[in-house]
Amino acid sequence: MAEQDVVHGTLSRINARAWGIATGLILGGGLCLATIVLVVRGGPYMGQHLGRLTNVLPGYSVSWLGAFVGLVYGFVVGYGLGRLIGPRSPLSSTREPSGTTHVRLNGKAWGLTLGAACGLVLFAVTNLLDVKGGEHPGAFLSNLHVYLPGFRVDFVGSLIGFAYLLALGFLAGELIAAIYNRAVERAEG
Amino acid sequence: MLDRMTQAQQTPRAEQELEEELALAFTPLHKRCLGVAVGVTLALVVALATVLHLLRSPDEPFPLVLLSQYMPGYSVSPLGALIGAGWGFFSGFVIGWFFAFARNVVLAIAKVVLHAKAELAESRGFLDHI
Repeated sequence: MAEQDVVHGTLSRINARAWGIATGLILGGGLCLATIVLVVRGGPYMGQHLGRLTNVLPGYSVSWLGAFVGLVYGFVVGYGLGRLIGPRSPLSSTREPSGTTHVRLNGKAWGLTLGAACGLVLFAVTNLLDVKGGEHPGAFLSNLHVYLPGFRVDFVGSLIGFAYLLALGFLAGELIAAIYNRAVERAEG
Repeated sequence: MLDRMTQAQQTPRAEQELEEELALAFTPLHKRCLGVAVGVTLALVVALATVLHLLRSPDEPFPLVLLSQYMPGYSVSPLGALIGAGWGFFSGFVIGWFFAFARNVVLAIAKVVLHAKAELAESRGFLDHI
């Protein structure tokens, strides 16, 4: 039993690390690429919206250096988020390793993971902007109310936003798992 | 007696379960399939967000119109929803593919490291006896 616990612990750690690195690379690479696209395109109002990220990521700017800073921030945040939300249970919903060459996804695990990730990010960013205050805190973020009725940049709004994204993320995760599982079945024949 | 028999039956089953779990833990994600799955989902998200925006705030394209900075040809319009869905699929495919790739690589490296550590631990005892 003790041996089983050790194996479970090791697998859990490895799984969390894999999720952390994969999420970190996606988030860091995505922010870096988004910044570089704007820098290359140039213009008089270059990055006036993406540049607002400096409110939550100190030192970030829409510039070549900012792209690197964004890469680091994105990786660190993504790694932490990935480790935090990476499923503790196996990703697979079915125990059929014999003959299976690719893992199947557990829709509920992916749904909860994606929903929690999106919800936590919105919750954290909203509260950070609310705490920082200013004349129009979160003026840009508050535009989300078009898609998430009732959302606003304050604590109650952050809870509403969290609930919305948890639900939407859950649906998206379930959809991803369903499409993936079907596609893998087809690919493996 | 009965306890011993039950224990003897349970041990191979526990070992088998452990082996199955180990096999599953290191089984790779299918990169192309995850790319397609994330791509389809992101395409739906962009298209639905555009349609929702058109319904709720048809006169003010901001902030969704900012997507046109990264998705050439995109606009907050029915045609834009289609173009956005195409870009969403492309971006989602890249994200899904890369996520699966990164996860598979990390797990493969972890597997090699664990294997090497286990072999080293086994041979350590042997070296002590020389």
